[in-house]
Amino acid sequence: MRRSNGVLFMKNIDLRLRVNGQAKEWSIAPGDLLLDVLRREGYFGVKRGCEKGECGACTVLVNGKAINSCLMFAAQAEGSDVLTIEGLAQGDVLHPLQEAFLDLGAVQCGFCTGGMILSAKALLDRNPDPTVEEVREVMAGNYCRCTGYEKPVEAVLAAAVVARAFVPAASTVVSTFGASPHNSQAGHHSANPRSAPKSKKTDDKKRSSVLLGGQR
Amino acid sequence: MTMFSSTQIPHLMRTMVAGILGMPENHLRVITPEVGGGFGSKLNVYAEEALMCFIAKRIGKPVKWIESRRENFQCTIHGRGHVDYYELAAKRDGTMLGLKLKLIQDIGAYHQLLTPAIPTLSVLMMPGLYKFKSISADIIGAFTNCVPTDAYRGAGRPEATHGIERMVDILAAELKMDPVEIRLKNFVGNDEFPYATTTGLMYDSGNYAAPLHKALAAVDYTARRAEQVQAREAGKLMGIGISTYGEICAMGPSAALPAGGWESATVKIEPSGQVTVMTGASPHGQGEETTFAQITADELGVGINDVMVVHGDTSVVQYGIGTFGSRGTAVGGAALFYALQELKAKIRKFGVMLLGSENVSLVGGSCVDQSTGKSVSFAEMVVAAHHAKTLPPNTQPGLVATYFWEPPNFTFPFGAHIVVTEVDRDTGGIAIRRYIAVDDCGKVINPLLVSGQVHGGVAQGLGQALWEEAVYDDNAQLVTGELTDYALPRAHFMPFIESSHTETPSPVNPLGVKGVGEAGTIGCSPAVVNSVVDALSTLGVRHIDMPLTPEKIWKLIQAGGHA
Repeated sequence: MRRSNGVLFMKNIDLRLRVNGQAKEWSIAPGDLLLDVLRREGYFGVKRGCEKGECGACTVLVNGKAINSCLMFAAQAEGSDVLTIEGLAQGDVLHPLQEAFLDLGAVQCGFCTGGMILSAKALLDRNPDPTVEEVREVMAGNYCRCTGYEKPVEAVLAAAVVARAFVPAASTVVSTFGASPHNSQAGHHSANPRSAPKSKKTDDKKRSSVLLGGQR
Repeated sequence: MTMFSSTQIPHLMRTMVAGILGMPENHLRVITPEVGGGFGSKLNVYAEEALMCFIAKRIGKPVKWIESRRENFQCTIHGRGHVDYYELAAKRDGTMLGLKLKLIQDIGAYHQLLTPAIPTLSVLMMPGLYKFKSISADIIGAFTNCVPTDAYRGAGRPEATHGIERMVDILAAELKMDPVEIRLKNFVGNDEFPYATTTGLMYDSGNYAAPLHKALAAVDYTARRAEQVQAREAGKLMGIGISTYGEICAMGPSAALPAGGWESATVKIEPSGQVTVMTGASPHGQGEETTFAQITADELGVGINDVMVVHGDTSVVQYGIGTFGSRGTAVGGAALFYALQELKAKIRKFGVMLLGSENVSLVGGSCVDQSTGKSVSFAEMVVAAHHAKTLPPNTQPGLVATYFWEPPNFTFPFGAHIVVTEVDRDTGGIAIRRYIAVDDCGKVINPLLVSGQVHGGVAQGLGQALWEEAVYDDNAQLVTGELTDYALPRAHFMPFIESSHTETPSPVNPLGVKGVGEAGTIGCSPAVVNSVVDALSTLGVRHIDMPLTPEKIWKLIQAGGHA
């Protein structure tokens, strides 16, 4: 017997799904939220911001669609492909959105960043060439108190250019851009989190835990 | 006991929680992981923070507590909460003489950490960028049934700036003068710094007309005024609003703060030549990990990636004050700079020893003998200091320096924001057509990070000006207690912000920096309200209280400009 969301349930159920490409089988309570289960299983890039579907910090992609994981029962994800921010990079190779967010300083405290990037990914997957208005409209589901949205919007548009340049129109559910060759051509930086230019008056932000929006 | 908390002030937290629990301070370790935004609400010691430590101690087990969003709205702090009454004395030619303020501060149900300091800051900054012969202010603290007020981005300065910048516009309208002209007429002059204000502050440096002229050029002010004439003839409500703000940053000299206003830095050069910086400032999204690495790389001549900046762990970092009041780089960065100078002096001693010459200087990390041109590398001097086979006279092995820097003054950034708006007669909706922000935060170390601070600050200013409000019902219950009910700016609400800078270095610290964390919020709200009042001025509107919700504006238009 376990308690979930203030309700006592007699029996756990099994949940089978794929998270970031890996098959998972978890025992959950029927009332568990997807947000709670993902965090319980260590996907701390999924943030608990408001639990009301307003802030978008808990955004994950379920079968390619951006959803608020605080508004979805985990049980509803049965058989689904779930992508969290942890699954976006291919090993050491960051996704163009992650690269752009770092290069353009679109990350400040980082709390909202994971959700923002996933919302943007869902947009670029269905519309590789969005207008600034379309980007702002989609990002409207993700609250950010630090950046004023300007640099995140700029970053999404920049990432769209990179993605269009290096990845043909092909699109898959879990990873659209995959290990694109953009990284070897991205000029002054590589995917190494500790590599940034060695001059002082640069616009580069060091890459530390901000990559995953502060993984805690 | 180890406490993880989302706070702007790890060391002060440790001192206070240890004091509350009556435990030895050195038995408590406070770790502040990636904090999330702070904005003042984490510049506090909340009851729960002490209670969780108490419970953990009592039951001998780890305790985890996460507040709900509603608890965050109801049980932390709110910002602003002023009712201000202003009187302004001026000559017919627009020269301002005196300013009188009665400030009623909604304290809330009880004091939080800095509650009374916030209206005090408002009064200190009430002259803005202008010269006044006389100032008079009364602060009335009103205890209410509401959530306590305390520091929220800007903390007293947005309130002061809103007041003076509204009053300047009202005066301009009264005298039928251009709001630009009246500002230029009353600015503290470039040759008057350091400038002693009537409120007792000493403005460090300034060139107040520079950002205003830059912003006017960016928006093409003359053309916009001409466009406004045409818009009005076509029946449209177009407004142009200006604010020229001043703020007080780099909090601050210890005499002005309850528990010290200095900041600390320790720099360690490891035997490998890599550098670890430990800062008592506790950044949480401002990007000092980058800025401080830049300062260190520049001073020592090492690569920026050879520098690791560590903060937010009381067992690792020497005592520090924290990040608030736009002090991270302006105070913490200066402490770092002085620690680096001590280390450089020590490195130089090893250079002298290895080169066997006194006539040496440090050039990009190496030490060069000026007479022979011979040099030793940074790595060679670092190894010599650590292996210590021979030592220079009166010199300890190792390369570590700690500096606690006490700032001699605050810093005073300034800037000009211009907002062009259009008001929809039928809906009361406000469209922002242009947003120009020209900010002078002294020397800019990292332009990318600085513009990020401006953007975020402006978003919060816009939120305050247009949408955000803590609403209580007749029973003093907080109605806006969830993100579903509290109107935060979203991405599609925001205009494109045309941000640029002028650079007037501060003489207060060796970096010449002033601070920028709160500038956007401070400059924004009066520019927006001035713009909307300007748009509605043909209806006889002289002032509107924030937030400028469509409902409020629509009612005003329906009533022919009379609230």
